[in-house]
Amino acid sequence: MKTETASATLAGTSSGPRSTADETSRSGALPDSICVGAAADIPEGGRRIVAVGKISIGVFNVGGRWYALRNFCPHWGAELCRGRLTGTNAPAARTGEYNWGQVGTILRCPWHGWEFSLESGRAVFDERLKVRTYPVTLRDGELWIELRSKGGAQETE
Amino acid sequence: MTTTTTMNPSLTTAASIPTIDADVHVRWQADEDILPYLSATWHERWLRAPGGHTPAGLVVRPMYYDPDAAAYSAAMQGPGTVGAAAFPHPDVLARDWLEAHNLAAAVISCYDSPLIATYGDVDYPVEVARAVNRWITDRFLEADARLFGSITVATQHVEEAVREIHRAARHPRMVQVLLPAGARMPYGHAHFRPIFKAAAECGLAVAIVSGTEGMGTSNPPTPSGWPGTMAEMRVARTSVFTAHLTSLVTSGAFVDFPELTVLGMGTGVAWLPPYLWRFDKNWKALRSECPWLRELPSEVVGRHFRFGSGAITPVDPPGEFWRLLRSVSGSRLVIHASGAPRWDAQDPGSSFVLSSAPAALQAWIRSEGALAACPRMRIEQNQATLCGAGTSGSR
Ligand code: FES
Repeated sequence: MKTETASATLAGTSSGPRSTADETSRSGALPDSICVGAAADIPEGGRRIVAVGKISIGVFNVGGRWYALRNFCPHWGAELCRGRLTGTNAPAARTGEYNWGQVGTILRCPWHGWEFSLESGRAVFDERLKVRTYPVTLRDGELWIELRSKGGAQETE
Repeated sequence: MTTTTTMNPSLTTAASIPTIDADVHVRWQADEDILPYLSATWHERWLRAPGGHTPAGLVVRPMYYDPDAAAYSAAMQGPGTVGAAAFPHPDVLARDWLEAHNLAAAVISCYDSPLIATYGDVDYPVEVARAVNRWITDRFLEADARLFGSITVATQHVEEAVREIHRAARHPRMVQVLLPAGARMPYGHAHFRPIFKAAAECGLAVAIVSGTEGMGTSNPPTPSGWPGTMAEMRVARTSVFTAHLTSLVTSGAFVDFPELTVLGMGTGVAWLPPYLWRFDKNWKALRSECPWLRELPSEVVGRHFRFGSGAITPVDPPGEFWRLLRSVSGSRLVIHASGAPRWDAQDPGSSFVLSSAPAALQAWIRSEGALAACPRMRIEQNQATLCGAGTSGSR
């Protein structure tokens, strides 16, 4: 799988992401939302990593659904969004019981393999551990990450 | 860090807490003592093998020089038994150990019987296991109600082992199944699961005993191969028990048997906390391979494993030892178990663990831990009389 990385500046340019609040971004705070480009440029199964100020966010297209997560593993700070998308065996009540699920929406950290749900950002081994997720909206064929509101995936139109 | 070496105040009150010794070794006086329990087919083999118990069949055993071997046999000749390998008679055990140290009860085992699980053949160890269990029941359990027994099994034949556990457990003071640390596979393997199931069904603990690593058909005492000296082996073989522990936890033995306790005897414990740090860390990434393991491995170990105090090395200052244990799964990992009458057995008065343990842990280490691990074991708090679990004692 190929990961695209967009070099991002807060001020909108023709090549980098455009933001909705250029004045606040100049003062160091994050804009309300940021455009990561045309939805058509990220095929199903694809992803793009964008820098937003000092942070980095990964945007994923899984089966036509869009997800955005902080590109930072809460364990040791690896670039989580460069990890492999896979499934997992759900916690089981009995030995020998394997319930393979969440196929394609489990992100495994490339460093030590912690599993995170793309949907919720939560670690599978401990739900209290969470990576920040962001809603993704589609406006006129462009993908926007909503930086202010919390939340996970959003359907395409 | 400063440490104080004042008298542990808990020791003054400890005398009122009944103390159980969870590891005391017994053995027959003469090889002929076992004959009534063995079918005639095996008499010659039993008697011709030196000591009646020499591994037969496939023998793989490096001949380590043991500089103290002569000392054990000399001690065994003398009038006392402390320093010998095992107590030969219940009266001697009572006089030299229980009464000498004001012990309320002892869990006894035939110290070298787990070795039979490392024999290359099958039928003979199956018979010997049954014989040893019947002998220990008649000779010791029936003689003294303060004694609780361990069931030897031949793991080569799992069905027979299960049958023997159910048979031997008809005696209400049989409280645990004894397995040798030296084995062909880690004990979490499906091959052994029926043995653990039988133990759980009967309310028995499972004690894994160090000392057979590398013997008979078991794997070498380290995963890197054979140590060169006794000194090297005694230290390095800890990894064998570690493998069993890890295997039992990941394979979900305690998901299958939530009441089961596994005891490590002669394994030490100070190595455990750092190992669990690593186990916990890896579980976070690899839990999908054992999805039934739904909590940190250290929590499972803290609930289901107990370690005999006998092989625990004194740490200076002792507070560091207890701090280490607390760092991972509480301090309820240790129970008093001396390994008597071995030359290095610690009676309650000289035990590093008991003399350094915090007051709040004294009752746990002295008796509550063993009672919780072996649910069949009962002691009457206010008198010296002991009784077994309420099940029928018919044999
Ligand atoms: S940095 Fe992500 S699992 Fe360690």
